[in-house]
Amino acid sequence: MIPSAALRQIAAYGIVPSTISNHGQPCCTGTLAWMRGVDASNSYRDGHWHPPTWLRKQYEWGPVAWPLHWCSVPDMKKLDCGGLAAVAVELYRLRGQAAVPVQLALRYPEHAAEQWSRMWERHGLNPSWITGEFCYHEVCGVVEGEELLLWDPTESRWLDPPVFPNEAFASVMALNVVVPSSDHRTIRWRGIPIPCGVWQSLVFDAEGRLTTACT
Amino acid sequence: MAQPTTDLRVYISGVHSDADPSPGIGIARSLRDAFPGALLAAIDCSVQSSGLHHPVFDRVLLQPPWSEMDLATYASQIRQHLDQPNTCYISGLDVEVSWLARIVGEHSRLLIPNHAAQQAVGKPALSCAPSIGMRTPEFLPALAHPTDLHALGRRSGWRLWVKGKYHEAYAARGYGDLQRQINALQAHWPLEDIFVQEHVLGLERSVVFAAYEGRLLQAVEVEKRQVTPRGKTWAAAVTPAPSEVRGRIAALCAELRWTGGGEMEFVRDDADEDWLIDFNPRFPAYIYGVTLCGHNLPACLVARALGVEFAPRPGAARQFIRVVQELPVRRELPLPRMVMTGDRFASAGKHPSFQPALVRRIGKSSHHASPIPGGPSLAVPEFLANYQSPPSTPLRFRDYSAAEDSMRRLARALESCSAQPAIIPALSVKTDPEAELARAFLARGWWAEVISVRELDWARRQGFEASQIVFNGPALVELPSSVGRPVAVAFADSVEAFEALLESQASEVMGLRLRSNAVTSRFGVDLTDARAFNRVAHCLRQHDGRLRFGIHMHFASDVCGPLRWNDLVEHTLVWADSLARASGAAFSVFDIGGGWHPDGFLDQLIPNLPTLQSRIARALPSVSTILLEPGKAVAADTAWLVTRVIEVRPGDVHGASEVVVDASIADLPMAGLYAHRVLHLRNGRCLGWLTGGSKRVLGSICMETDILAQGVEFPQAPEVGDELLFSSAGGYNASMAWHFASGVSRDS
Repeated sequence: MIPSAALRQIAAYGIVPSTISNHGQPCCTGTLAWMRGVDASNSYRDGHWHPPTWLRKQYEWGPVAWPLHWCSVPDMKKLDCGGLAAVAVELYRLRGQAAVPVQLALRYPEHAAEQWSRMWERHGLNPSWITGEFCYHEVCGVVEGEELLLWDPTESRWLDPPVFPNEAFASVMALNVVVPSSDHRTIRWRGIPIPCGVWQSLVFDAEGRLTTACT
Repeated sequence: MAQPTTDLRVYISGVHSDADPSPGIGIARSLRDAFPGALLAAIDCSVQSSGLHHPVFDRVLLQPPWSEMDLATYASQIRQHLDQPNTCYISGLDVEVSWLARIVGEHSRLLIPNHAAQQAVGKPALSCAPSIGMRTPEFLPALAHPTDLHALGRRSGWRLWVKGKYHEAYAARGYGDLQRQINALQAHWPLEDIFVQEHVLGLERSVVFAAYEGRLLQAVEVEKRQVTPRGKTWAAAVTPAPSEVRGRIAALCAELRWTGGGEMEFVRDDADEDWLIDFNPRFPAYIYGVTLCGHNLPACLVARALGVEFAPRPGAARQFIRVVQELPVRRELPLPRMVMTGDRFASAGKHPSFQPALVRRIGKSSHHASPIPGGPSLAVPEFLANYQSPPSTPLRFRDYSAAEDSMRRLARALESCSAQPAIIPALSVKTDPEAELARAFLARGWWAEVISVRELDWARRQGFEASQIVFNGPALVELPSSVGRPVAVAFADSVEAFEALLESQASEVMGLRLRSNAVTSRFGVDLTDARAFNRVAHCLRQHDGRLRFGIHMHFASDVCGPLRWNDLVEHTLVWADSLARASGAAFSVFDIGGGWHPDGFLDQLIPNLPTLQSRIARALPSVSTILLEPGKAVAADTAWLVTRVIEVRPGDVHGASEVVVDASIADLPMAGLYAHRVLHLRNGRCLGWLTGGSKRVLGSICMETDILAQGVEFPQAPEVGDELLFSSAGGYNASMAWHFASGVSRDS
């Protein structure tokens, strides 16, 4: 289980999920229209929509100076996890699917976290998204009825809950499904009930079953 | 009472391990985990079978290659092994499993499925599929008529697998590819044991199980996490099979009195439907990975067969991954030097477990891998009633009856569509500039589609008004200077051409052709390039309100398949809407292009026109006209090519033979891309249609590609002077026919 102090620090870093701003002008509306077309070209195959794996072919992962506006996205070479997640959420919504930002606390070995810290510092940015072996991360939550699927556009993969109560690489330790404050529903992620709108730690009970605990 | 395991012996055949491994090593490692004192003997047919050198084996029984083995003696040797107490035999070779079931028969310690059970799960019919709640992909035997194989390829979007009944599967992405892969597999397997199967989209999984005398012992579900470039499992997650699946497999095992390991390979599609693609009558090669996850199926099977016990170990993991490992070669089994064969080195001697040799030893299958579809026999065309052999050949003659029928059906379909947006067919002139087709289109008030100024002149001479002409293609730059009146619609092939078109206003509707990355094409504008998108949006914004705009997609559906063609429609609709949102402009014309095979035009496009119309209207309410550009759909079947046999070549060792005719790919240039129905005539009398088979019809010119038909059989033994009439000799086969080997230059 993630120590509460570490989770508090991560939650404090990610008070709100990354949001790409909109000028409300043709520059940004045109970009969103273009992105919808690019997404269809790359992700609509064989009569179905597929996850937007093209994002990581288009954008490298790395430090980005915020704020971002939509009209700057086409020319970006890199996006961080927040940028990628914000784009993915928007793409799913443009497809007509319900999607929400999801904030995560992931556990990594400290040597990996240390490398990312240096990477951010070299770009003059504060690596405050890293707290020891715990990292703040953002993904796209795809909502199908009461079910939540987590698409990680940074890794181009669907995220599954941890299987063993030990220290798996990139294991999800806590998450916050970001919904409007008036929405108090509970959603199921691969069978695990997740109350929305508040950080939840993932814990294994005495019988080895995965559940959540509000922090 | 359980017996001690120290005197337990297990013979395991099929132990080679390379990129396409046999399961022997995995079976042995699983048994070693459960029975540390057991004697494990490896059997294979060459020192190069890498598993023979694995230390898990206590003994090695190196056999002669299948081609040099005395099978009766070998069968009796296996019986002798089995007659020893506490001894069992597990085969990891599909062909050997089949042979053993027939020759050795049922034995309580021969741990393979009986012959009838193997028949029930044999490829490609996989007749057991419904009883386990699965479907099977569409398939045809390689001996089916080439036109039927071509139709299967078109329906699948040319995503096909050419498979052997026992082993090997190669992808085929086109008609030429299909013929190549069939020929390649024929080098190993009899043609009767080769089939062609449609690819199923989805994630591959397996259910692996062990059963003894009809009782299911264990079943697990294996979900692939990594595969090799050849599609073999490299990593996977293992879970107990869901109870419903387990129940179905238990019922199937009971019904078939299954003994041994088994692996059901299936694909789960987007609709959660399971498609059975293979059912192996043995354990899979990754079986030790399943053991590592806590499910030791080989040990369960051996324990049950020999009445012994073992202590199951808890799983060390829920997933497994494979590695490459180096082993010392056994001193008594040294490997020979490599020798040059052709232009590359190859290992000396035979493939370690070369099962095709056993297939050839035990004879061709008593029945084909799958029955050749019968169906109603094809009627001979009406013109044969008055047919007279031409004095000289090759000769192309026209018969418009099929085209007339297609146009009638198209007209009827249009009547059943809504009035708005109007759907207007435009004859693709380039496909086959025949006046008869132009007259038929004009009579119905339909349009013409041209790609050059010369074609535009031709269309005008046939009677098409400028307002009935669509101008397409990269030569749009020629258009402004050539016409007095604007044509109805012109579609630019690049942003530059679009800007020039807006400047010249050489058409009433200014259109843009889009390129989609769903297919590989050199044509159209790639709007995924943000600069191109912004330039087009800027053009539209500037001229919005003053000009009318069109959008165009074009890709042959008989190349990309109906599924991907529909993807292209969707992409184009989304891009048109995106451009409209970015610019504020609206599109009034949507052109879906052409490229339909005559059968696809009738069976897929025409019945779906009302649906397509409403889909376009819903996505782009501003569209008032939908254009479609039939070319080969109506023109391909307007002509026949008459050829004469000038030489008959005797069959080779496989019985294949070929004839040479006086025509060539200069007369039938699309022969390598499309299959043709062919009539066989002698002295003006029809002998019947050529069917599927192993023979070829070769052309008469000195080009390697000059093959007019392959995989065919003649209704009667061909003779010099016989006539072969090739159908579908119109369309591009007529318009692209060229002078070659006739002493005529195109430019003279």
